[in-house]
Order: sequence, then C-alpha cells, then structure tokens
Amino acid sequence: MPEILEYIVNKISEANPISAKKLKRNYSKFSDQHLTEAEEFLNLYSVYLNSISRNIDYAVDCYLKMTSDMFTERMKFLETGEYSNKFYKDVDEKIYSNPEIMDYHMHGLAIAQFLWPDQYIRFRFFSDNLLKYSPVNSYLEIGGGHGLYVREAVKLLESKTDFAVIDISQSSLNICENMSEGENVNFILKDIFEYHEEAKFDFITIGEVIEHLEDPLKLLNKIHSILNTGGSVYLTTPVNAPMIDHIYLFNNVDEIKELMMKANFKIIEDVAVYSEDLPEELAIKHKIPLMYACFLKKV
Amino acid sequence: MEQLLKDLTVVFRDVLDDDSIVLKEETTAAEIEDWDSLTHIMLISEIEKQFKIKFTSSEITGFKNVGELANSVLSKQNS
Repeated sequence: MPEILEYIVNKISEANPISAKKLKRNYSKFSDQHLTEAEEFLNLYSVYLNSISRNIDYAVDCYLKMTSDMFTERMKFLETGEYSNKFYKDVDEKIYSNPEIMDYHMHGLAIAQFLWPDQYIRFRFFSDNLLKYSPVNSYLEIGGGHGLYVREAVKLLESKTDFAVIDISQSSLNICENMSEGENVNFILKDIFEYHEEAKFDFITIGEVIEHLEDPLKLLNKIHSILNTGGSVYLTTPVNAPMIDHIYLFNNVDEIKELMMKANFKIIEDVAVYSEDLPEELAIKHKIPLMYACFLKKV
Repeated sequence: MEQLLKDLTVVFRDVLDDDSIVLKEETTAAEIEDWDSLTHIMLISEIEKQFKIKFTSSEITGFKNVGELANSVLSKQNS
C-alpha cells in the first residue's frame, strides 16, 4: 500500500469511519498497477497543493465535505427520484459562484479519482483503448478536471499531436496545467460554445460534463461540429448520480445511448460500472450510481 | 437512552437483516459488518422516518458510534 494512499484513507477513517470502511474494502482489491498509478497521481497532486500553500490534509477535508454533500443529495434523490437542481442558473448561483464550495468540491474529486474503483476502471478503459483511435494529430479535452486524462493522452499519443484543453474555470485550468506536465498543451479559458475556430479535432475527450447541463444534446451537436470526419470522442457521464452540481438525470444507460444516436454518434465500445459492489438487481433497486464511458464516432 | 437503544436496534436489525445486532452506546461500524456508507443512507432514512426528525449533513457523516447517533436523536426529539 503506497504511503500517501494509506495516509489519506486513515485520515478519512478518523473523521468518517463508515465511509472509510468501503474505501478500505475497495483498496484491498486494487491491482499493483492501480496502486502505482494512484501513488504517482496523489504525490504529484500533493506537490501541486504545496505550491498553492495547501497540503494533502486540506484535500482530505475537502473530500469529507464533498462526500457529506453527496450523502445529502443522495437522500433527497432517493426520496424524490430527481436531482435537486434542474436549472443551470441555480447551480451557477449556489455552486459555481461560490469559491469556497467550488474549491472543496474540486479538491475532493481529485482525491476520489483513484480511491473509487468506478473512476479508475473508466480511466483504464480510456488508457487501454485510446491508441486504437490514432492517428490523432489534434486532441481536445472539454472540461479538463484535474488533468488526469490529458496527462495520459500526452503520454500515449505521438509527440507531434497538438493538445488543447478548454474550460470555463481558470482554477480548473491551473490544476490541469500543473498536473498534465504537457508542454505542448494549449489551455483555453473559454466556453466551448464560444469556440468558433476553423480548426477541428481528431479526438475529443469530454468526461463528466454533460450531466452538468440542461441540454446535453446541444453540446453533443457542438462536439459533432468540431470533430474531423473519421474522428473519435471519449465521453463519460453517470446514471443516477446525485451531486450538488448535477442537473441532467440519466435514469439508465439506454437514455445515454439514445442521446448519442440523436447527436449522430455511434458507440464503438463502452463500459458501465456501478459505484457499489452489489449484484445488478440490488444496484437497480437501490438506484446505485452507474458510471458510464464510451468511445464514439460520427454516424 | 436504554429504550432508544432498543428502538434503534430494531431499526438496524430490520435494515441490515441481521437479528444478532444489539446496539450499545459504544458500538461502531467496525463491529457491524454490513453497516457501511451504502446501508448508512438506509439506516438514516429509516431513523428519520420513524423518529420524525431530520439530521444535518455534517451529523449524518460525522457519527462515530451509536451513542453519538442516539444523542442526536434525543436532542432533536427534545427540541
């Protein structure tokens, strides 16, 4: 067990033993590769935190606040069957315009990247299959998160590839830039709908974005319009996953697939992982979040 | 407190489907195999319903043992 991972889980356990119980159960099953990659990412992230005068304890506090929010959202969701926010303007007012919440939500998610098996399985799905979709001369990520995916793409793809990350949040771009270690990555502070350049892309990654929108189809249409003929997309989004900033509820994977078809994409391969290790009938009964990822091409 | 612990034991036994559970103030999740983050939501939801109370987010994720949970229920019932 890498020292940093053990330290994080122990800190979580001190504050929230019930939540840590699942984490401990999970990490006993992590592969050596998972542990190595977790250690590498979390150590790098720790260096980034130090550069902004924070430390890993701060990130653990953020994780605890984020999981506390998730817990509350989940209880509401199980009661109502809906996400608590339906409109972008509400999330913008309550969350995006609140630097304190944004900060802990963002750092909390960073800790989760390697602690939650569902996140890691989708990351591996991306990493193990990306090269099938080469050549990739131009690569775009919409909403770069913590830089995990663009960092992996920089590692895997040809050195002549032009990389870009577009995001509406400067703080997210800062993390992404620090974590990606990509010298040839262009970081663009812009709403993707304001991107009107003629240059199109061979590959577009969009992870955990469309559920934050009222109209995900509009964004999928935009992606379609800036993807080169023969180009590919890697997309992830969850089913039944209430979060403080999720708006668009997918009730099952078929709804996601239908939306991809509506946007004139065909699914080349996909993966879906429940966030709890339960038999499928129980996972469906308890509306356990199902994390979905797919590679797409234009129809 | 004694009666409350008995009532909570009934809830835990019912939700976790385990009749061997006997709650004490010092009981923690470590001692009850199926009490994890997933079943905690079901337990909290059932306790809120039965005792007609509402926990705050920080309470829900902050209980370290049954005693803290029970004290929270008591304080809400008395307020």
